[in-house]
Order: sequence, then C-alpha cells, then structure tokens
Amino acid sequence: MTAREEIPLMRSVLSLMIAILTSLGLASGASAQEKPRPGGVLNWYVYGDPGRLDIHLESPLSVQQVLAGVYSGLLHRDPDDPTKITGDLAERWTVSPDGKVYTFHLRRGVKWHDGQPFTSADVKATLDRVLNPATKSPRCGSMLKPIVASAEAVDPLTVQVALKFPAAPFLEYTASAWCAIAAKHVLEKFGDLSKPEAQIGTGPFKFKRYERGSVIEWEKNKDYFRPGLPYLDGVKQFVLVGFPTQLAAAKAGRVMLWDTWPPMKKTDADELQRARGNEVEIGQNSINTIFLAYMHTQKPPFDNPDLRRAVHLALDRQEIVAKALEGAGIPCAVLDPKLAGEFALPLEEVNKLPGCRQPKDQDIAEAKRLVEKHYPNGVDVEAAVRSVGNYVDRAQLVLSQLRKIGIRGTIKTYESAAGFAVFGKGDFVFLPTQDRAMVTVDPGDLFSLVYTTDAGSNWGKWTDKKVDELTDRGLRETNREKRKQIYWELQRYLLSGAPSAVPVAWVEGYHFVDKRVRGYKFAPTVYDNNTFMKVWLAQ
Amino acid sequence: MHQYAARRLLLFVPSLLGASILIFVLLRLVPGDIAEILVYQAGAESSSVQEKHVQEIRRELGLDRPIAVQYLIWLGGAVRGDFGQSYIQQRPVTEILRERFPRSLELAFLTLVVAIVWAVPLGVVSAVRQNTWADHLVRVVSISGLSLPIFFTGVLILWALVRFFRWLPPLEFVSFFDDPAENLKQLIFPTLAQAYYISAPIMRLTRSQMLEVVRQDYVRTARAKGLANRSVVYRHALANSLLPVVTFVGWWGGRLLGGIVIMEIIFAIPGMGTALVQAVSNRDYPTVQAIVFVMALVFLTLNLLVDLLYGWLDPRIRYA
Amino acid sequence: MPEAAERVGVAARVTGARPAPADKGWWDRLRWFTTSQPLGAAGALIVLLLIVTAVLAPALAPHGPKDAAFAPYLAPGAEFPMGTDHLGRDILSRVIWGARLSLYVGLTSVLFGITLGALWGIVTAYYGGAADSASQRVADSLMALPPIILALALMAALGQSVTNVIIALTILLIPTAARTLRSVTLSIKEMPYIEAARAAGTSEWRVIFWHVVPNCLSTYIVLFTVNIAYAIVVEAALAFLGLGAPPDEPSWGGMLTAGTQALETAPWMIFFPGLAISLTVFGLNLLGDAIRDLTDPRLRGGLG
Repeated sequence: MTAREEIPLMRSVLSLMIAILTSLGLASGASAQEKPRPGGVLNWYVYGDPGRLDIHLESPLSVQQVLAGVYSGLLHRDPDDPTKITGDLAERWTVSPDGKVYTFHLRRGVKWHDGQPFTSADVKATLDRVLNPATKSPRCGSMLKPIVASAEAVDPLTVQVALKFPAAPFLEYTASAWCAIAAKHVLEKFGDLSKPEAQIGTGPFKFKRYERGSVIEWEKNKDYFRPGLPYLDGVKQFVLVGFPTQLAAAKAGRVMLWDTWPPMKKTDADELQRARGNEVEIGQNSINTIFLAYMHTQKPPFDNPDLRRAVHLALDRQEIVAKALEGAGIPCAVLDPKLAGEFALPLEEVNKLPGCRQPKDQDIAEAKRLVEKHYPNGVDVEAAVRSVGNYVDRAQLVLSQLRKIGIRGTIKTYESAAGFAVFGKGDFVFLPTQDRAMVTVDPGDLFSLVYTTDAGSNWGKWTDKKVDELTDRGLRETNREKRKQIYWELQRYLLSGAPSAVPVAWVEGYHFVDKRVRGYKFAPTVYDNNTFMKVWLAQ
Repeated sequence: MHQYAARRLLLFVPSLLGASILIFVLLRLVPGDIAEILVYQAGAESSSVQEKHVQEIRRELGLDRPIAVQYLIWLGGAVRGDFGQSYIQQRPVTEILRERFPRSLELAFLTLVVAIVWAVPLGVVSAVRQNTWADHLVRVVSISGLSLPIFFTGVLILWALVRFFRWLPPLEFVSFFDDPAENLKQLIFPTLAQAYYISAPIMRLTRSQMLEVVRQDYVRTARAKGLANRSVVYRHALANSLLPVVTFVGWWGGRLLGGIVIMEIIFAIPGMGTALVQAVSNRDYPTVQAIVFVMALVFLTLNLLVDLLYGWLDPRIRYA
Repeated sequence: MPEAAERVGVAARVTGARPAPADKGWWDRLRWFTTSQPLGAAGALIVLLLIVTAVLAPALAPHGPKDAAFAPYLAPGAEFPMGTDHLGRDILSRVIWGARLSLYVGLTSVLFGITLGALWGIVTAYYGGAADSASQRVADSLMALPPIILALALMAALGQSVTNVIIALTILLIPTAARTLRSVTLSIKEMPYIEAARAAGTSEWRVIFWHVVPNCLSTYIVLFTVNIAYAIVVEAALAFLGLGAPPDEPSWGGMLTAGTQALETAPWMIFFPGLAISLTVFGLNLLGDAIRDLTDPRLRGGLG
C-alpha cells in the first residue's frame, strides 16, 4: 500500500471512530472538559411561523421550539443526558407507598421573568388548567387527563399530585416540555398564553421579541435559578419556510443547528458537509416518529382482516427504508429499541416474523393467496396521501409493492392540512404513508395514540379488545419487567395480526451542529431539550 | 368627465364585492376548516371527544352559521375597516395588513422600477433597429426571462450566492426606514429575479408601441423637417408610445402583489404573500379574506386610475 | 366602455412586416417566414419538436416515467443519458413523457380557457347592454384575485390531479381572453360590413360566427400560443407551492421542484427539465411574437 492510498483509509477510519464516539456521547464529553465561555447569540431556525403561542393549547413543534427556553417544567430531560429525567422546578419528589400520590418539593427563590415569586400555586394553576377538559390541551392535557385525579398545593413549596391509579408513565409525561409550568398571575391577567406579551416563564431565557414571520428572539435571564446559567446572551430563531432557504442558511453558516422538522436527507447532509467541511458535525438521529400505513377497517376491501394481513405480509420494509428513507430508519419495528430500550421487541425477533423477514418470496406468495381468496381478479383501492415531504415518493413505493399481490392503488393527494381533516374524519380507504411523532418515549404512547379503540389517531376505526386491555394494563403496570412482558406481547400480537395501522418503519434523519456550539445534546424526542440552558459558543 | 369618473367608480364596487365573494366561497370549498385541523392534526385526544371539540371551536368562531350569514357579518365589519380577528395570530387582521402591506408594496415597487428601467430602453432599441441582430438579441434576452419558472430562478440565485460567495441575504427582515442598506440587501435579489421575469411583456409592448408611433404622420413630419433621427425617437416617438406602457405597468403592478408570494417565501421576506400562504394552510379565513381583499382593491384601484387618466387625456373614450 | 386592460389590446391594423406572397407555394411562404421572422421560425421549430416528442413519447422513452426501477442519483451516462432521479427513475423518459403532459395540460387548459373566454367576450361585446356590463364585473372580480393565489385556492379546493390543474388554469385564462376578445369585437362591430350584414337581415348568430369570429382569429391564435407557455410556467409554480399535479406525474414543474432538493447531489435533476421548460416556453413565446408581428404589433400577450 502506498502512502497515497493510506490517507483516505485513515480518514475513513477516523470518521468511523468519530461516528462511534459521537453515538456514545463521548465526543461531546471531551469538549465538556473545556471551560464554558459565556456570551454570544445562537442562531437557528424554525420551519414555520408559530402564530399562537400557548404552550398548553397548541400542538405544532414550531410553538414548542420558540418557547422552549422561556419555560421550566416540574421535571425535564437532563440537558447533560437527555435520556434521563431529572428535577427542574422540583428539587426532589417522593411517591406514596401505593404509588398514587407524588409529592414534589419545589426550588426556593425562583422568580418569574416579571420578578414575581414562583410558588406551588403556579404549579397547581398549570395542572388545573391542562386537566380541565374545557381547556382542550392537546399535548400535556391529553397525556395527563387519563391518569391524574387532582393537584394540591400543600404549602408554598410543596405540591401533591394524586393519580387515578399508579400510572407508570406519569414522570415521563410530567417531564415533557409541553407540560411547562405557567404563572398563575399571568394566566389570570391574559386569560391564555397565546400572545407574545404573555410569555413569562422561569426558564433560562426571556422571550424578547417576536417579529411575526421573521424572527423570534430570546435574551438571557439574569435571574435564572441555576446560578451561572445560561451561558448564551441570547438565541435567535429565523422563520424559514422554504426548504431551499433552510438548507442555504445552513450552508452559509447563518444557522448553527438543525434539530427541527424536517430533518435533512442524506443528500442534504452531503451537500452541507461539502459546503462547511469540518466546521459542522453531522449525525443521524432518531426523530421519535413512526411511519405507518393505515387501512380503514370498516370499508371494503380492508374491512376484511385477510386483506389487511396481506398488506402487512407484502410490504418490503427494508426496500422502503433503503429507497424512500435513504437508509435512515428501523424497518418493521413497532417500537424502536433506540428509543423504547428494553420495552421494544428485540429486532432479531422482529426480523424473523412473517412480513418483516427477508427474503420476501414466501410472504408475498401467502399475501397473494389471501387477496385471491376474496378478490380473484385483484382489487382497486384509492390511496390517499398528504402531499408533504416525500410522502408521495413513499406512497409510490408502497403501491408498487402491493401491486405484486393484486392490490392496485391509485394515488389521490391532499393538501397537507386538508389531509388531516379528511383522514381524521375517516374519509379514506387506504393511507400508504403517514408519520406519527411521539411526544414522549414511553412505550405505551404509540398504542394509546394509534391502536386502542378510542385512540386519537385510530383513523382506521379498528377495534380489538385484546389491544385495549393490554394497553390499559401497560399503563397501570409499575413493575418494569412485567410491563416489558405486556408490551412485548402487544408488539407480537400486532405483528402477527391484522391491525388497521401497519408499522412500516421508525424514521430517522440527519441533523447538524456547528462545532462552535458546545454542550448541545439531541433529545430522544424532537420536542425536548431545546432550552439551550447549558449550551455555549466556542470562539 | 365627472360623470364618467362617477360611473367608473360605481362599477368599481360590484367588482370588489364579486372578488370578495369569490374568495369567501372558494376558501370554504377547500376541505378542512381550522377546527378540524387543530383537533385532527394533534390527533391526541380520545376519538370520542374529537368531534365534540371540532363543534365547540366552530361555534366559538361562528363557523357553524350559514355561509351567507358569515359573509354578511364579514362584509359588515369590512366596510367599517374591521376585518376581524386572525385565528392564528390572535390579533386584529388590520394590524397584520398594516405590518405586511408596506413590505410587499416595497418589493413590488422596486420590481416595477427595475423592470421599467431595464425593459423600456431595450424596447426602444429593439424597435429602432427592427429586424436587425440587435432587435433579435434584445428579444431573445427578454423572452428568456419569461422562460424559467420564477421559483427556479430564485432557488438558483440562493444556491449560487452560497456556493460562490458563501453569502446569503439577511434572514431577518429590517424595514427600509430603520436600515436602508440592510433592507436593500435583502430585497435586491428577489427584485432582480422578479423584474427579469416581468420585463418581457414591458419590452414587447414598448417595442410595438414604438413601431406604431414611428410610422405616424407627425413623426414623419418631424423627420422631414430635418430633426435628427435620435431626437425624433426620444422626443416624439417615445413620449407618445409610453402612455400605453404606463397603463400596462399600472395594470401589472396590481397583479404583482400576488405574484411575489414565491419570492417572499424563498428569500424569507415576511410580506403579505407569506402571510397569505400560511393563512391558507391554516384556514385562517379572516386573514386570507382581508389580504385577498386588499390585493383586489389595489388591482382595481390602479385599473380605475389608469382608466380615469385615459379618459382625461382622450375625451373620445368617455363617450365610447 | 374600454378599460386599461383591453385598451392595450385594442387592435390597430398596422403591420411592420412585409406582406406575405399570396400567390406562391407553401415552400416560398416558409422561406419568406424564416427570413422575415427568423426568431419566429426558431420558435416554430422548437414547438414542432415538442409536438413530435409528445406524440411519440411512448415510442421514444426508453423506460416508463413512473418506474422507480434503477439506482437513485445516477449521473448522466451511456445507459441513462440524463441520469436518474432520487427514486431511481430515468430522467430522459420523464422529460419525454413530461413533454406530453405539459403539452396536454397547456393545450387543453388554453383550448378551454381561451375559447370559452373568447366566446364570452365576443358574445357579450356584440350584444352589449346590461348583460355585457354584468359580465364585465364578473371578469373584473376574477382578474382582481392574484392569479397564483386563485390557482392555489382552486387546487386546494379541488384536490391535486392533472385534470384539476387544467380546470384551475382554464378558470385563470377565461377572463383574460374575454377581456381581450371583447375589445377586439367592439372595434369589429363598428365595421361597415357588419352593418351591411345586419341590414341584409342576417341572423345575429350568423353574423357572430360568420363575420365577427373570423376577424378575431389572429388575436385568438396569439393568445393561444403565448398562454400555453404561461400555463406551463404556472403549473410549475403550483408544483413548487406543493399544489400542482401529483408528484409522481412526470410534470416538468414537479421534476424541477424535486430537483431543487438535490441541487448539488444531482444537478441533472434540474438541468434537463429546466432546459425543457425554458426551451418550450421560449419557443412558444417566439412563435407567438412572430404571429403577433405579422398580424398586429400592438396586441398584448398572455401573462394575465
């Protein structure tokens, strides 16, 4: 081997090592040894103008993103290790022996951005607000309402939350950035939190300026309750709607971070790498989102479980991930082991199951038999697709696979919002592709959002007693090992049955961080750990 | 003349009403309203309460009333200058208009100025040197501006700026009155792209106007009197051929406000276009209606002014 | 009452070109056309090429336009002269089929839009009176809505399909054509031979179709040519805003939009459809200009 050839090899070994180190979180660990430098403004972007800013009433990521640093929660994802949950406004907490009462002890001396003292009354006001059905809180409220009975302020620094039953995901839900604590006096003054003036939190940054459609600016909260933090003087988020504009901004170094919707594709990441070279660190991350294909269970032909089963068997997830997701995804999994950890059915087992295994020949033959049994000449279906991102590309791939078993789909596209309205009402037969982002990494979320009879996104109107029962048991089971068994059973049941929503893949995407940005950690959900409380800028 | 103006003004009203009814009805034909989008997009509440929430939100916003009633309520407000409350921005729509309109107006104005400065002289050259290589070159260049979809030109400009200069226009909008240099830095490229696109028809019209006027008697007379060719062209022919060009530009200016949507998106300019696209995708009816109403108003007003100008200059038209 | 938009379009019978040799054969006419209108001839050639491509698409295209059967992002080479796109489709085949789609969308929408608009304009102008005035207000209302916004709203309301793109474009084109043809008709109406026909007791409809319509033909042809180009460009803009023809259809606008997502990775993804659009629009405009020059230099073109 000549010296010339060594260099690329060295480089690839080096980049491999960096990749491994980054995935272990070690590369940034090394920079943690440096002394954080205070000052500077971090620039990044938000993919749409958020409009209404009430963190309890809205659901788009854009709203969460522009408010993240303004608020604190009772709990939050640890900025040093976002896979863990730690106290934020709550210093510590205890659980009653029956697991039904949580007592939170709050930090002393915390002030709202307007100077008012923070007390347990604010926590109670927040919880009462999101628990009130009239509030219609789609994120925090919809998570807490089924499990929380009431919240009481015991004394100014103690809050007790009584659960309806010992619910396993309670802490996970409470730590969600959507369950930010708002000030009682602000709620009373403004009625809701929609307006920019009402953005008074206890977080590391103050909401400084909202130039609609253009920029959102935070400034350092000098009275932040964690001494010495935040390091940054401020954060600016530009509203960039067009994808070409977003990518151009990244390439020109105008934005220092890309951890938002949509993630970059492989080709975008390559382009960015070429433009910025070693100034940026690009990585592939999970975005806690599952790619599903929905079938309406009360309309022909998919009212017939055999046809639904056939679709499950015929879909070649490996090909879909390779082509439509450019390799960035976990095929066929109901739960992603990277996110749900041990609760996810091991991929070795998943990849041996009919429908998920390779090669596909045997499963396709079986699927074809199932279709022919009911429709000897095949069947035509209308495939409804929202025309966003690469949905139509994905749908084409799905349909070309189904054509092999006699299901002939024709695509009907919907404008993004129109699609939600139509699908939510159940006006469809087949949705070849629809992503569903999870708000937390609790393993029960997917089932209660998509699979139970009463699930909010059970668009195919599927009813299965066993799924309902197992999901409910999983929610109430506090023993980790038993809980794992319940979810494993659920996953096996879904993969061997004929649900309305077929899991295609867990989606991943490419993100980047400017190397000047230190201390930023990707959280397992897109919604969390965007406060930048411990982020700083190197020279 | 007064009678003519009054009659024209009277016809202005039904056109404006027609436009507002059109957009009102069209918007409601688009599947999904804001209630459905808010509820189904989150898709988190249990399915049994989703339908209830949709009904509640509709009731709150008055969307459960018959569409004719909704329109009359809107119209009642609009004639008093009250366009209602934006669903998404939670503030009066008039405030949105006041904020966004000047920005789009600036971009449209700059575009027109650049287009005229570029296209009129080219049109003159093209006419004076009719059927020579100069004529052909000018026409090829100007028509090629029409040939690329405007979004494509915009994206290419963005890409080239980053690729070759590692530079991008400012992403944060600054008003011209706060910082003219920064403001122009942001607007220069969308202006050039859009101006190149619209210059073709202006060039074309200037050319054909010139061709016609050059053949008219008084120009011939001027020439015969021994005036230099150049002076004839600029003093006599150009002056007379410019009026229809101005007319056309006025007419085009009104359309431009809608046309710059794509430039606004690509160059991150928070004007009426971006607000409109956002409002359409959120089904923020009051905002869409108001913005389209203002665009229609501008278009019809410019049209009216041009007509009155014509009527004033050419009395025959009043009796046509 | 003439208004700004139509006044610009008022026909003035001055031609800048030498008269066509009326008594010669078609070859001489062709030679005369190419020498007096070289740009127009170039445009005609491009348009001819487009038509041939569109008609022969099934025979010319080596692969199906929707076959995602190859490796993605292959650079142009022997096997794929224009490379492959992000889904591994042959771009050459898509560009060829795109000619057919663009021409289909352009032709049908313009055929319906300009024809309906022309009839509307001619008939209302001919009869005049309250119906004319009312119809003018409707045209005004339609034109007062910015075209791209109107198209956007129409597409969102109708849903995305090739047919609906055609419908939206048709609605966009109708008022422009109505306006222009109305003003042309108004001037024709005053011509002595129309008076004569009427005096001779010819039925109104006969006058319209035998005397008025033929005289509007040159205007109609120019509007027709130029607006096909306009339709193609608007279709592309709709694709960029996410509301054009479904992305799997081989529409040039859709291909361009997809290409902007891979500018550096696969520049051929924008280059070839971009070239196809520009050449076509360019050719149609040149041809339109030439026809305009030959018939009526004052006539304003499309771009309503």
